[in-house]
Amino acid sequence: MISLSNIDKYIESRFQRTFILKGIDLKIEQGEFVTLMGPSGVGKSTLLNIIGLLDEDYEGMYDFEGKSIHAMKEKQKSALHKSEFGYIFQAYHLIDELTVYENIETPLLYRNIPSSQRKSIIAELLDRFKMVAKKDLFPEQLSGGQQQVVGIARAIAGNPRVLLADEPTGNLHSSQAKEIMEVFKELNKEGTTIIQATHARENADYGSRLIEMLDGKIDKDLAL
Amino acid sequence: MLKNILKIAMRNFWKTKSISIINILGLSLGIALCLIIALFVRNELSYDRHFLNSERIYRVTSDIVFGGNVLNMTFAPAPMAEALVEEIPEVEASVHFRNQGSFLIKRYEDNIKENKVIFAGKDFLEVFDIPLVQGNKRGALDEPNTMLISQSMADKFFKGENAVGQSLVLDNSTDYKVTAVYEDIPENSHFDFHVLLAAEGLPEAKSPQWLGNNFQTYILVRPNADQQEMNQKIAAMADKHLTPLLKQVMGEDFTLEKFRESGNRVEYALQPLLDIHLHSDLLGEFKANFSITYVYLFVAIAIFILLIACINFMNLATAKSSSRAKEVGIRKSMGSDRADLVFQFMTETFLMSLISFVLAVFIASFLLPFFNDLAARNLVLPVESIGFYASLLIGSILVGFIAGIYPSIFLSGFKPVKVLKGDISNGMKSVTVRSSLVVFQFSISIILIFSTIVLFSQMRFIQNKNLGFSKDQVIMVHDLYALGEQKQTFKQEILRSSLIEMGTLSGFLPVSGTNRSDNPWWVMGRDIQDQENMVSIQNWKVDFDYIKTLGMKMVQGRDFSLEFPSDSSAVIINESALNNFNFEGDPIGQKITTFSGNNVTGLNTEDLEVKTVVGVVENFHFESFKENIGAVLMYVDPNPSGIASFKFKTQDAQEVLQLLESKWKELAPGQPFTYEFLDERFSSMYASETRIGKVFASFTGFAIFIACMGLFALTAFTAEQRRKEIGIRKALGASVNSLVLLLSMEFTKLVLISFFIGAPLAWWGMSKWLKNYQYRIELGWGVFIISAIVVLLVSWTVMGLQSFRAAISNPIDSLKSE
Repeated sequence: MISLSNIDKYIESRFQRTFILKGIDLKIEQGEFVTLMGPSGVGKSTLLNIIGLLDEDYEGMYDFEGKSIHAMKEKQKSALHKSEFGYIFQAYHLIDELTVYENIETPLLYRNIPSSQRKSIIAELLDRFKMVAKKDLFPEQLSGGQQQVVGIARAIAGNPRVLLADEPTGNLHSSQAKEIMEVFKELNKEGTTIIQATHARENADYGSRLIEMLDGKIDKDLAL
Repeated sequence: MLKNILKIAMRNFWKTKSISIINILGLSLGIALCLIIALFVRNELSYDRHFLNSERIYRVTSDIVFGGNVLNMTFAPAPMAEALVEEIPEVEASVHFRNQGSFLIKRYEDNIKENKVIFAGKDFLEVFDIPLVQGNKRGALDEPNTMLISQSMADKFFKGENAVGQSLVLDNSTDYKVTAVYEDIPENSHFDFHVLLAAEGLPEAKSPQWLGNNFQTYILVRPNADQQEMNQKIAAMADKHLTPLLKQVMGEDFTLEKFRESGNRVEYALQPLLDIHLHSDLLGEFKANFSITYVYLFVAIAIFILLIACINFMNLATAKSSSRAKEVGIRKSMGSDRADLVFQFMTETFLMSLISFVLAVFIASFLLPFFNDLAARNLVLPVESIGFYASLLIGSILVGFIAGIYPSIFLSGFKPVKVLKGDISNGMKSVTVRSSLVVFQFSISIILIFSTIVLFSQMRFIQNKNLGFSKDQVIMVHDLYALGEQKQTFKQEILRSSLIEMGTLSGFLPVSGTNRSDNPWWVMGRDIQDQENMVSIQNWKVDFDYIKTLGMKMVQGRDFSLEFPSDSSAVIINESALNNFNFEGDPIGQKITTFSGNNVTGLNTEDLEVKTVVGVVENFHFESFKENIGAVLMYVDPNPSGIASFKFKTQDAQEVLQLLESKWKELAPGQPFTYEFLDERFSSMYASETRIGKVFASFTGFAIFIACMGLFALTAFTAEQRRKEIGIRKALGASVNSLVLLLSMEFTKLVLISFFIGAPLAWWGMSKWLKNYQYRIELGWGVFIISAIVVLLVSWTVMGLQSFRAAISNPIDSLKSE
């Protein structure tokens, strides 16, 4: 499904280039639950951003479902982005000015989903994550765990095939983190490909594959 | 999607309420001012367009240089109108006007004084096809002693009756019969007469005399007639008629070539009717015209004000960007592309712009009466026209676009990966842009402040300059002819009062709107074949007390005096005349001469009139400061008329008025008493400049106000962003003063840069404007210093308030929140 070959990313400073990623080769199949692990600054987030089409400033080949991303026009990339990827962030990144309901609705608006269908999708998600009572609250009125739940709901609302999570539990305490991981596991069971970046080893246990990174390279690639 | 965008917009609006409100109010105020200027300019541009065939109507103007005098006038010779139709095939119809001032009009007993009266040629309605309410167009002014009156005139005298066929009495002597009633001439016309008298009854209208210029002449030309070609034909026609006459005056060997070689000329040209209001400032305009330069000036001010308001908008939008950056990142990560985001931010701006326009209409309708008062106009918001709303809508889209495009592109450009990590390094670039925009705003403000100061200094200079006569405490009583034979009695009786110092009877006064009469004179004995010896000069009829009453100063010789019986043939000249005559030796006692009977009905070249110079009076201003002081000679008129002027001693002008009025009523019962103070008449010569100055100043004030609103909000915002820094500095022991200074410094620098950009530009522009005046102030350092002080004071007040608020906040509050 996702195939990266020989990905380099570097920062050019006056006298030298500093590599963030160097020679990454990675294939991820549909339905996998991949965990990227490693200390801070190792390039996990960067790799995630490249996979999620948020960062285009790199060298190397990236094919999605056999099609080269480089060969795609801006429109096609945008369409791919909308239909295939969902994002979850460490700092939740909900839009402060929108309610829980409206935050979940936003990606659906970008996908031009008709109003009635939107309503039923959101109702289902709210139900599933037990947020019905909180649908009219604003992010600042929720706890961190609750905000991240909304973040997940928002990420999967558009029914993406790949869910990208960058330190999803980094700001949460352990019981909340557990809950989130359970949700991930369940989503994976339903068929969603999940790629998460984390430095908490216990989170990796929920997944099916563990990739350990070191200095911008893939150090170990283990099946769990 | 739109709902989502609107929700975000509204909630963002509330989140930063105070700034948003400042933003919207600033924009609304700016738009309201532009709206008013737009109305004003539209009105100025609409002048005379309502006349049928307005683009085919021309006025004949004259450009006469004779004996060193330059005359650019709306006047042409009496026979010109008829000759134009007869001799130039393109001319379809012509009409000429002769202004003889105001008339007393009555139906039965009581006279009304009417200023807007004019004699008009019989084809008036052929040229100016104004709609008639009663009566017939055909032959309306064909007969002597017939008249056309306006609807409001008809309502005054013949309320509810048919006016046509009825008569009115003019100046207590002549009956005029109304032949038709016309709709009032709209205000946006260069003339607005209420009474048109048939020029058929006026002897001078029939005069064949081409040397006198007394008639405003208009023609209607055939479609597609070429102005240049017609001008050439008119020049040829004038030469043809003038040459024999000039030969008669100047001798048989007169040729036009010689005449022109000595720097003289008599030329006529056509001026399109539609150019009159904005492009003409000649002698003898029916109304004070406006100038296209001022129209451009107002348009520029409107654009400036709008830009200042839009820049506020941009600056605050980009300043707020840090709080919007996260949203941009999230939206992008959800698959929104840049176009979606630009659309979102533009929608927000359009919304704000639309709200501002609605508010602006209310603000404009509130401000309009003040503007009308200031600018002496009668503008109304065209609330009933659909076009008005359409242009508002288009305007709001345009303003939304100008104000929104930069912030939208700026905000939508954030890289999601970066901003979601909290890195808004893009901010650096926005600070530079923001600073340049602030500099731009304040440069404009400084240009406006500088110009206003110069404008008012020049006006004050005019008011206070030594005029060569004393304009204060002089009252003028008009229409002396109403007193008949009792003019001298009136003067003598008034002079007996202790309130009055001095008095004089003369229609010639050194303010506009009084008599003028120009004739060539030369030093006796000089050869007038040499045309350089002819001096074109103002001939003023005065009385013995004239110079004393007006406080003029003799520089040579003596004033007129009753002790010299020979003073009936004495003249006093001014310094300009002294210069033009170029006497050999002492001017006092020299004889000068002119053709006698030199008036509109004919010249008598056989008979010469001789006068002796007895004195030279110091130059005094009798035309606008835009003109050099021309040559004047004065002689005593045994039977003066026109205006009685009295110099009074008391501060209580009311007392003087009562005295004059009661005496007037006694001597001229039933005649209206009209008076004017000389200084007020003088000020009215500069009324349009003063008016424009005031309008300009108020717009300047508003522009600075709007710029300061932006500065206020921007300082608030920076202070907010630097709260943590302020907190730390305070915790380390910084004083409130040093913090206020720190916060104000950033913008003070910008204001100073603006000064160095704006002030030289303004200096350049205003020096050019001042060149319009022959008598003007010098642009010294004072203006620079004053405008710098004004702008710094205003901006410091605004910034100081905000900075102070930030500086006195408790450091703990800001530090804890991190």
